[in-house]
Amino acid sequence: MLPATRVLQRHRLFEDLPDDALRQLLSIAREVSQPRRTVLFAQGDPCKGFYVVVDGMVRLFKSSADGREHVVEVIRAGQSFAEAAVFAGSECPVTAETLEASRLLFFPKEPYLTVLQARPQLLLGLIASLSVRMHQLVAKVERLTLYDARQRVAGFFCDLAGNGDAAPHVLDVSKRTMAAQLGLTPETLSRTLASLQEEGFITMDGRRFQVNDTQGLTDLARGGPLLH
Amino acid sequence: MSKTTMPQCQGCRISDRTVWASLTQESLEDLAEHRVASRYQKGDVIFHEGSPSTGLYNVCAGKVKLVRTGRVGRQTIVRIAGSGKTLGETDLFREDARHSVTAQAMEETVVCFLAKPVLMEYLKDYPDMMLEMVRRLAAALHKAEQRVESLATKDARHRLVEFLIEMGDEEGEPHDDGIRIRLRLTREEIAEVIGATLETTIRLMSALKKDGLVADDDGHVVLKDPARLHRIDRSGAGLPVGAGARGGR
Repeated sequence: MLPATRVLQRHRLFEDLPDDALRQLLSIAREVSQPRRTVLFAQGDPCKGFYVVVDGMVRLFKSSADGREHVVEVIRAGQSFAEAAVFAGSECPVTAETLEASRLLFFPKEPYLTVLQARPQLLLGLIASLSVRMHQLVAKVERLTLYDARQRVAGFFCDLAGNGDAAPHVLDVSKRTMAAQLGLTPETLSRTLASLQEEGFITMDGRRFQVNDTQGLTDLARGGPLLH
Repeated sequence: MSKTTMPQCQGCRISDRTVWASLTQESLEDLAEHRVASRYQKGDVIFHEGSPSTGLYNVCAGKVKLVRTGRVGRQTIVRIAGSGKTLGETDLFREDARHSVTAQAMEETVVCFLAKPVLMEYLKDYPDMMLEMVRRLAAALHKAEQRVESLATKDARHRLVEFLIEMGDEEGEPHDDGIRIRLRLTREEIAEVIGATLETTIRLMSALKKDGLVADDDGHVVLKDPARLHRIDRSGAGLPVGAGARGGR
């Protein structure tokens, strides 16, 4: 089996799909390999379809009128992007650029919509997938409106490290990108990282990090331990 | 609590703006048998954050705010939904199927509810209804992404101006002094939307008033100079903010 098929099967969009439906979707997909720092589409371009990352990493960012960039999301292997843009409006709301050499599956819009029409059950997977994305965005809004720098950074590590995983991880985005995603200045981020290390929540060595106190970090991310 | 259950909404006047707009007349009548409409007074809670999500809600009249509460008790308004908008659709299909927000009426509001098993039957039979749900989710996602971008990159004054313009577009009505926002918003609610403290919000609103950009009319905000507000929004710059760093409260 192609690795691409395995990636698709694990994706929420294609979960529980009968083999023939998966084959039909794969038949319209184009495999694309791109070197690091390739723009896949630019903000304002007409939306031509959506992507699933098989290997590699892609950043989605918005540029403001004064040229500042805001990283909306970093998409990793097994994740998809731009499927919402296929349905909402005709322009890409963000620019997508590979952060490293990446292999992707591209699903062109029109053939994809035709498959959806023939197989409406695919829409349920789409609803589920968009719902999860929405849930993550609501959590981000919460973090940006209700939480201070410490809580935002703690939340970032909780998201990356997953639940109760004590193994070391590698921070796969630059600290500048991380600061932008959290709405912090790079200086505030550095100060916060230093204090979280000092207090023993995390250990950092360059881009490698380890979460030492998952519960503590989770509590911190959610605004301190629950008061009874 | 003054929630009252209403008889079926026969001849619903907003059905062409709902998620079930694509249904045939016969199916709409059948659907009406399953829908439960309730009237809520200002401040009433329609569902609570963390409670099980059991179906889809449609706002028939009025305004609902979707609120998220942090552990420290502070709140943020995630979205304001008016008539024709659906509530709870993002919680229904996630694995834990619990409400991620609290829905609270901002004025007298009528909401109708469709239980998940019935909804699933309709979705199966009407792919267009499913497609409409996807479109709504996609549009809501884009709005949420813009919100995250604003919070991360714009200062509190800019976010306030952006929100007032948005409310003017969605809720504006002509007024002697400019555009009046039909929905009454407390300073606290504005603070919870723009992610600033109440003190900052009060100070920023006073400054906008002093600049002749907005006015108060019996609890309604009046946009006195929409053109200048738009210019401030586009340029992002303007007067000093005092609200601190990006995303600062």
